[in-house]
Amino acid sequence: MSVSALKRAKELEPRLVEEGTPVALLSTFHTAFLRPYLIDAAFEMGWLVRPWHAPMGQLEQEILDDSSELYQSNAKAVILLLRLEDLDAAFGHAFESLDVDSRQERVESIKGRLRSLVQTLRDRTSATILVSNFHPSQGRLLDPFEAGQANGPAAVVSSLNVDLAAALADVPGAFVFDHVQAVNRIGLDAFFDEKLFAMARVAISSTAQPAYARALARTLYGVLLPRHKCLVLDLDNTLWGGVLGDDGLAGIKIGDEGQGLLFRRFQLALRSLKARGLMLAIASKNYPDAVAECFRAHPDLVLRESDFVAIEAGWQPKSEMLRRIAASLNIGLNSLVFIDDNPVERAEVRANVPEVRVLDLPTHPGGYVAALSDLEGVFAPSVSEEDRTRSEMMLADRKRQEAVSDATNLQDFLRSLEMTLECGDLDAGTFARVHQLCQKTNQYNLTTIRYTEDELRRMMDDPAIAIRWYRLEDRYGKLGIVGVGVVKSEQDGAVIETFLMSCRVMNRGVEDAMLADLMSQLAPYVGTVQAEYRPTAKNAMVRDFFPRRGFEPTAAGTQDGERFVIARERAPTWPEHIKRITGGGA
Amino acid sequence: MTAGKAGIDQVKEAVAAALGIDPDELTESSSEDDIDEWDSAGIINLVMTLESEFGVSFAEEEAQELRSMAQVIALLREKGLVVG
Repeated sequence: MSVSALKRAKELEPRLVEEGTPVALLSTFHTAFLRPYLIDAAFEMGWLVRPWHAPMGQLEQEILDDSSELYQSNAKAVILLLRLEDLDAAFGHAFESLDVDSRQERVESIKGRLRSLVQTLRDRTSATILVSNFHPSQGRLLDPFEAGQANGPAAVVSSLNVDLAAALADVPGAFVFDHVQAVNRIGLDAFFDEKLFAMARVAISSTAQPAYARALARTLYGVLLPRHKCLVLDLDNTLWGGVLGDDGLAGIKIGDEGQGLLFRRFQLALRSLKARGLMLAIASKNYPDAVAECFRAHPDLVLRESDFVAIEAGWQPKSEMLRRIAASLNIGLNSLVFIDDNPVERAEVRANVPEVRVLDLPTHPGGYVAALSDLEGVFAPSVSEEDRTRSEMMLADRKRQEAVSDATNLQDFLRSLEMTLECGDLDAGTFARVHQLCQKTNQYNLTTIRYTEDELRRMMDDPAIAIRWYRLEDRYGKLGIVGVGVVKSEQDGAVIETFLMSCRVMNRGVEDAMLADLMSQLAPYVGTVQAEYRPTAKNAMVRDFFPRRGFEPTAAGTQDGERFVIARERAPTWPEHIKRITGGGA
Repeated sequence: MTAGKAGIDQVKEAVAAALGIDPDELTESSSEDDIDEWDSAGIINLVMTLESEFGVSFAEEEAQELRSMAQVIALLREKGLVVG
């Protein structure tokens, strides 16, 4: 297998110059031998990387010299692979001869050195930074009592790792590369080969290199590329053992023992990915009714119908099911992963929708969970609240769409949504989301002013400026903060500087409620309100927003766009189908 | 890992992959004297590739002997890896 990886890497080499993502490896030991495995591992993920390896041990030389080859490599990621005993030989076999104070001193000195390397890198490049953590048992005799010793090497190294992670968390775009996890997976004994190390400072054994490169490639993928959005799963022999159509609901294998437990644990792992923000869907050759019945009635399933954002059961090709799922979720085919035990189905999907990532499940279900662990693009350095509730939001959106098609008239539909709009002033708790909306909203945005954090903070302190946020909830769930308005009161009238809203809530009267609230925030002396529409390539949908709400065009357009004006007492009123609550500290 | 069986072409391919050259450049009489890439780094790559490909393990002295196709084949035979 290593020969085939070496051959593939060699074949890919000519393409890397143009197409490969440049990444730089700096290390305290020889890493050039990892290069072909890294290229091959990334290629299996459908990705081309072009690794550049600094000469062994040249950390400062590359990082502190701003004309070094490192900075000329244009690397999108810089990876520091470090062995503790290379940074300070005392952390090898000499550790036991150090007293407690000098152990601590040496740890501090390593921390200081790494902090300055990482900070310099951050100042000089926009590349993502990865720093490997330290294995607590690597490079020393394996003392079975070490874990119990308060100042023993295991404790010292573990706390160094905690400090390293905390320090990196404070540096934007810097992350830990979990060397400890990679070594644990390979096995400490299998990872290191005294002979190779003695021969050429090769600190990773022959057999460990492919697996280590995979761990590194997976981490790089996670920090550099967008995550997959949805895992599309087969049912028979994928989510459960056996064939529902042949074995019946009582005959399929899922439960607490034997083969059934393998599938149950696979479902538990999938649910854990769902909690990390991945959506789950089904593409199965089965009768839809039998599938629905199984999800409803089978006592041992972990995943239920409500865990899936789409269920395609039928007899059409899986490639078609995948297309329908992508369309229904309004996401690209390239954000789907197809998971199916059947190699024929996988080949059909590869041939007909090559954009979809196809996971090759191992032949035995005992390997399914590990295959998920190995899948790139499902783990991210951090998981937001929005990630965690993505599936629920998607399902609620679906129900809303269904409700639209059910409702016979618009007013009944709007009333049936049972909306509550919470209105509040910008404060510390809402700052990040408001800033993000100002930065990201393109379509339903009247002026598209991209406030920086500093600008927003200054405006917050200005009593003449009201910065309002709007948080929506309806009978199907919480939608979070969906709109922002900024109005500035001046002696000769007020100006609506910003008015923006998330497109997914448009045409529900929320925009009218927002406008009514914003107009109610004016200083008492204000008589008229001016508003502006600044056209961009993306916001044509709100061109008529103000005229449709009673604003009159003014002759005095600005150089950026059209100006409108309205008398205060003619301000739009709050729509009766939305309940209003006051939020925040106000 | 247990040692498998390999034919002469497989060994040639492994050696070529390790040295980063085309298998056609190798004959059974090739050695470090006539292949530029068969230098000290090449020998390390050879050790690593043969070990992971064929599931064998070389002692350090043995590794230092991997300087010709004949020596490679002889050592792999010694380790029970039958070479055709």
